[in-house]
Parts: sequence; C-alpha cells; structure tokens
Amino acid sequence: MKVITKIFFYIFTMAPVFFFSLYSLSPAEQISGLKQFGTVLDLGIYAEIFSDFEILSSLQQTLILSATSSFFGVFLALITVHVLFFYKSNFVNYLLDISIFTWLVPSVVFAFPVYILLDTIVLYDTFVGLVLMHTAVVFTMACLFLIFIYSRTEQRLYELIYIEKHPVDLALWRIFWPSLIKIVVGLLCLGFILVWNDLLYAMFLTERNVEPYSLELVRSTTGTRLDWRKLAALGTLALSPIALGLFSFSGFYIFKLFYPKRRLGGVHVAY
Amino acid sequence: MSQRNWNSWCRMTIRQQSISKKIKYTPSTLTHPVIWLALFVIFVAFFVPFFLNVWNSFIHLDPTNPATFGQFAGIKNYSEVIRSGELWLGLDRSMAMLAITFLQFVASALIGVLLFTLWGKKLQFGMLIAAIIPALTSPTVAGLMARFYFNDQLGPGTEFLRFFGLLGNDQALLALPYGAWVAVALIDFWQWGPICAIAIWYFLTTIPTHIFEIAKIEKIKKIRLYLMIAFPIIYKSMFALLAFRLFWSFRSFDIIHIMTGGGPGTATLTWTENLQRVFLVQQQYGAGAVYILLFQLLSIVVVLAIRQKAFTAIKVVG
Repeated sequence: MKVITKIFFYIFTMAPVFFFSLYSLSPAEQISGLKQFGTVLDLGIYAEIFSDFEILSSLQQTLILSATSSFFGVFLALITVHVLFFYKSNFVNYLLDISIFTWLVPSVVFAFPVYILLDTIVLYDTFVGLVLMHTAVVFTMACLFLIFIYSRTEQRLYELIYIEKHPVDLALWRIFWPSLIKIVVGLLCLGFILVWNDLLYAMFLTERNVEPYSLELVRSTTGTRLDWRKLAALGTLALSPIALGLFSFSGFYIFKLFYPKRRLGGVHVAY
Repeated sequence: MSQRNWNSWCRMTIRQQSISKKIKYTPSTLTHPVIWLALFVIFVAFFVPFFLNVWNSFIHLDPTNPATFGQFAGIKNYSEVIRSGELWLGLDRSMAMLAITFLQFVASALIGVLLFTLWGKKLQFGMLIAAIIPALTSPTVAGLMARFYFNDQLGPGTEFLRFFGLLGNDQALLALPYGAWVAVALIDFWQWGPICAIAIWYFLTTIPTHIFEIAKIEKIKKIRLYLMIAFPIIYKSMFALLAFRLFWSFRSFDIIHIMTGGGPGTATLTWTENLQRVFLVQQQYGAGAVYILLFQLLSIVVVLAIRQKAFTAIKVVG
C-alpha cells in the first residue's frame, strides 16, 4: 500500500512537469505523432531559444526585477518590523491589517489603481515602476512572516535591551540577525519566486519597454500557429530557477521559516 | 561590549526578575526615520491608489465617448455597474470556483488522512519536495501545461479521455462549458491539492499519539475516529487552511486567463477575469473603478471580521 501510494503521489505531482519538459526535447518531425514521442531527444529548440535576443532580454530583465524587488521588499520589512517591535508601537497591528488585506484581495484590485498612479507620475511601462510595485507586494508578504516571528520573541529580551540602552540598529545586527538570517534568506527566495511567477502586474503595468518573462510566455501563445515544442521549452526554462532553488536551499532555509532558532544572542527563548 | 560579555550579562540580568517590573516604556516610535519610510511606502503603494480609485469611480472614463470623458459622473457608474448583469455573472462564476475549491479541500483532507495512516510520524523528504514543486510552479506555466494536455489535436489528456469514451472525437475539453471547469479544477488541484494534503498530514501529527492508541484499544472505526475525534482537535488549523485556499482561489486570475480566457462564451468568466475584460479590453475605467471599490470594501469587512479570531496570537502590541 505504501509503495502504491508513493508511486501514485510522485506520478501525480511530478509526471505532468516531467512530460511537459520532455516534450520540448522531442524533434520537430515527431510532435505530430505521439506514438513516436520520446524515441529521440533533441536539444535544438533550446539552442534556438538561447539565440533569440528578445527571450534572453526578458529573462535577464525578470532576473534583475525579481532579485531587486525581493531584496528591497524583505529588508525594508525587516527593518520596519524590527523598529516597530523595538518601540512597541501600535502601528504594527495596522501594518498586519494592511498585509492581510493585501493578500486577501485579488491582485487585479491593486493593479488598476496602481496603473493609474504610475501613469500619473510617468512611471508606467518603466522598470522602476514595476520594481516599486513588486517591492510593495514582497514587503507585505515579508511583514506577515516577520511580525509572526517577532511576536514570539520573549518580551524580556526587549526589556534587557532597554536597560542596556542598546541602539535599535545594533540590537538588530548583533542580537536578532544571527537567528533571523535563515528566515530572511527563505523570505528572499519566496519573494524571488513570487515576482518571477507574476503575470498580472506585468500585464497591467508594462507595454513595450519592459517585458517580463511570463509576459513573453503568454505572447508566444498568441499567433496563427502555436509552436508547442517552443512553448514547452519556455515553460521548462520558467520552472528551472524554482526547481534549482528548491533542491539547493529548501532543506536549509524554506522549511526553517516555521522553525526559527530558539536561542537569541545567548538567551534561551522559550516559545 | 563583546558578544560573550553581552551573553553573560543577559543571563545574569534575566535572573533579576524584579527589574523588569520597574521598566516604563516611553514610546518614541514616530521619531525614527524608518517608520516614516514604511509609512511612505504604505501611503504610496496602498492609500494613494485607493483614494485615486474612489475619485475615478465618480468620473466618466470611457474612451469610446470622448464628449463626456473626464467629466464628473456622480453615481452613474455605480448604478450602471449594479444594474449590469456582468457583475453578478462574475460573482456567480467565482462562487462556482469556490465550490470546486471546497471539494478539492475535502479530497486533500482524504489524501492527508491516507498519508497519516501510512506514514504517521515522518514523511519522506522527496514527497515534501514533490508536493511543493506544483505549488511553486508559475500559474502561467501551469495554465500553459493544461492547454497542452487538453489540446484537441495533440494533447495526451484529450487522448486519454477519448480512449475511455469520456470525450467524443469531434469534441475538445476546453471548448465545452463543463469541460473547461473540469480542466480548471484538475489543474488547480494538481497545483494546490498535494501541498494541502501534506499540511493536513502535518496537523494530524500534532495530535497526541495516545488518542489514537486509545481509539485502537476501544476499536473505534476509522471514519468515526477522524470525524469525531481527530478533526475536531485540529479544526482551527484546518479552518485557517481552508480560508487560505478559498481566498487564494477567489483571487486567482492567471490559470483561468491562460487556459480559457473566461470561455467558452462566459462559462468561466470569474470576477477577476471579468474585471480584466472591463479594464484592458473594454477600457471602461470608471466602471472598473466601481468594481474595484466594491471589492475593496467587501475585503475590509472580511478582514475586520476574521482578524480578531484568526490572528489573535499575532497581536502582541497594544
């Protein structure tokens, strides 16, 4: 029973991705007949994709966009949440409300007002405008996690920092940072994936100057004749950084999001 | 102060319990520049668009009618939107999507129970990864994969359905109203079903093992054990997971947009897809602003309603 369940589970979750990726390796003359599918593998379509300047450009743009937005969003959230907890401000509750609200309502509800705003301040269809939007989205996501984690820190730690009159920034880097580093890396990964996967903001906030990869994928599906082999290859490329990141870091970082260190700066914190 | 001295100082001071009672906090939050930066980000990213949207909902912003474009419209946009059938049609389709999500959640719970019965203590790391990969897959790619699998000419999914006689040779799954819903439900379940099953498995592992041992001695039936004993213990976590899935399903846009584009006809024209049509295709910005405002107000009510119960543990200040 265990073996059957395991096989079924792996087939259900992994087979669609595997088969889709394998389809991109099929030679062009085989794709019309599925009976011959998979007999010969051909990397030609990838060579074609990597020699396409537009695709490479959109890949590069999305990489920079994802890295920049996740970096700014996570670090701004970290500093904000840290300072709010340090000063025991009520504002943290409002920040939590705003973050929950952001993640409850559909993205399309934000996309259009932001489109009007960016159009007004001449940032529509610019890299900066898209980075700002994604930074705000990653900021709220990181705030949700960090508020949850900071709220579980023992109150006496703050009291000790108050007694010592430690500066707020020093307390962050010397006391909290060592225990938060894995969580921050995990949040950076999540933020990166979030921005990398986004289609909606790219659709609403760009036109021709900026072309994220997901938009390039969608545009390649339009036209008179669909090249499914190319589409499968583009989809595989879209999945590759996520799969690579997951296999490289998941064991160390992503699962640690829910298990922060129980020692903070030498003080055993019970929670 | 070095790290070692700081640590020993902390340990020493923690023992002096009486000190903590004498501390008086002097909130000086607004003096810190970071707070102002955060306020600025929130103001620019959330409040400015919100008020801009409120303003737009009272303006004529239909480019097909240049004579009135930019003029004050009063509540005309509101009355048009509420009287039009599109708003209610979109909500109807979104409710159908929520019903499908609920059924998916029940299926995930069954899989979670099966996993718990087989692997009560520890699950293989590979299975965790296998469950996470679909959830992290871009909805755009998932939608494209679905289009490929259910393509009427070369889709393996279509071939499979035709082989078992579930689909006629002259039919395509995505071209049938119910077929489109089945395809959307399948790909949505592929993406979120495994991770939900793993989450329910995890919730079940938090139940003390002696409860299951007693149930075994008392020879309580499995169905009764889970429905009457296990699920009531973990109902809060399950409710949170279900709420997350329902909200995520209601706000989803990419998969339906890529797979069906709201079609065939208006069969899968959910609320978000309809809003995208109003804005990007019909360019009725005033009416779209009303749509958005209605949903924002609804979301604020929902947040205020669920926040107190669902996030009590998080509220620590004040």
